[in-house]
Amino acid sequence: MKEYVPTIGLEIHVQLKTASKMFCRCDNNAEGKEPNTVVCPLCMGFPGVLPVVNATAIEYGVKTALALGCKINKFQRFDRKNYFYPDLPKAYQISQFFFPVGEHGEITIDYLGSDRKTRKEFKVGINRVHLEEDAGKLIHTKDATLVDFNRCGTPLMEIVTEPDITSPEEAKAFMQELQRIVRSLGVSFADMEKGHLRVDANVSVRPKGQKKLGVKIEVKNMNSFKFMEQALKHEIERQISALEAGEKLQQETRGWDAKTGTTILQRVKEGSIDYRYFPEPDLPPIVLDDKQINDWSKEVTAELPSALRAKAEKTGLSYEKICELQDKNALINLLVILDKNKKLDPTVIANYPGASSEFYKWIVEEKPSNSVIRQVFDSISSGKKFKDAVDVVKIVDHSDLMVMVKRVLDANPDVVKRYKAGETKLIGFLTGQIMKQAGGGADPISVTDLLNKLLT
Amino acid sequence: MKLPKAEVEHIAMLARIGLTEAEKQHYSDQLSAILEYVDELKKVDIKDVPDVGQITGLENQSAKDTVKGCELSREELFKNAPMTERGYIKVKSVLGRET
Repeated sequence: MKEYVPTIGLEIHVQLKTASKMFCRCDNNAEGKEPNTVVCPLCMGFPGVLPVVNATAIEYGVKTALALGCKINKFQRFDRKNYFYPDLPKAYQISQFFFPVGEHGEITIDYLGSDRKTRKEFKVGINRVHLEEDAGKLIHTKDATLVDFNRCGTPLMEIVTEPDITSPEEAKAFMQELQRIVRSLGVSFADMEKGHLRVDANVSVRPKGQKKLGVKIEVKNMNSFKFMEQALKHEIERQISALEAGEKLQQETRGWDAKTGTTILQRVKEGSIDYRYFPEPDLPPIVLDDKQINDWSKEVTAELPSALRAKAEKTGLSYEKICELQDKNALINLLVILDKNKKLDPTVIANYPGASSEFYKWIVEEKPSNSVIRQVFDSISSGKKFKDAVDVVKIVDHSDLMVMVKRVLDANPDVVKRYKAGETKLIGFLTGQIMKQAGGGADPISVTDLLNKLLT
Repeated sequence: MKLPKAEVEHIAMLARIGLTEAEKQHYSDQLSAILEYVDELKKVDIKDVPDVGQITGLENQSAKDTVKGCELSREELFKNAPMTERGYIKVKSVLGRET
């Protein structure tokens, strides 16, 4: 069998978390709301209404484009994309076709391979980033289609990559980094299962050594990272076996079916759609100045997930640990804590992310043992208040510890005798007795040290 | 140039309207006449005329991102909808007619 090289390009829609919609001031949060209750004449496409662009949506679009290394268009314009479908009441979607937010970007993705050990790196070109409005939601019943316009007019950002991705693993790494970026910029909740982050892929394979790309097939309906990786893996294998069997592939759209674990051919379009793009006459252009772009650029650079990882590496933490913390959304907090308390040991603190500042202050001041820190952290995590958690494991100070040690030695004269006669392993028993008295509030190593000193 | 029948059918498909054979012929003639008229404009030299997408001269007309809900109730907004059901607007089934 010949060796094949996959080529993948992604088209991503990101739902922006602005308070209001893209062109009207309806509530942008439709979650859990009754159908058609966060709508107005504008997002329902009534005649005679006039759109006004959401300033924050522009900011979010530009910031994301900057984070993806794009060249920002200082002159931006909206265009009408015309098509008839019941989810689109105006019969056109306001989008950006001729002058998008940003173009010609590139981003380096450094990530931990699926073995969670090997550190890898690759570059992805960004073709364009543009802003548009979402359509409504359709529900298909037996004999009709029901329309809910709540989501109609929600700001969307479309990101199109160059076909620079060469494996499902890389596609997943790209999407995860994109999710981190839009989350750390605060522009989207980016929850794939909730549809805040939607991805379609163009996949082709070609024999190794061949320059010309193979026939491109679009894969849709991948609504989690896991499904995306599975769908791409399956689609690449399917294309290779088809080619090996001498079949000819043709351009088509396939949908991932999680039940069967395969991609299924979607209805072939009967003709290409002519969207008849033209400049949106109801929206004046957006003109950005250099100062504004530079200011946003500075903010973005400081918040990039890759910048945070680089900063964390300087503290001496391992790359694996850093990635783990970042995926738990705990890295920023940890860096802030370490910045505030220079005396904290990063490798210790990395095991206890997300606690309150008094918890870290307590570690610096009381220098508790690892087992005590763990105990307190666990009881805080299970819902206890910090003060109560610490009270339980009250750290025993040195003089109290002395008293306890003496008490245990007095109560066990036999054991002491046998120890002195050479049964040194009995020190474990004595340490255990003292730990019990201290209620876990003592460090076992210092207890053993103390015993050694007293018994010799 | 006369607009070919296939073009008329494509435009009718995009507009989601059904045409009879007689109408196709009729619209082919009408659309061709319009296109010929527009063709006249091609004769004008526009080498030095900038691309115009807007004539108001305005720029950066944006709104602050604050929620201001609609005063109209769903019932009022639905007044012109031919069919509704359980808070939804009801239309003919479009399943299998994805764009």
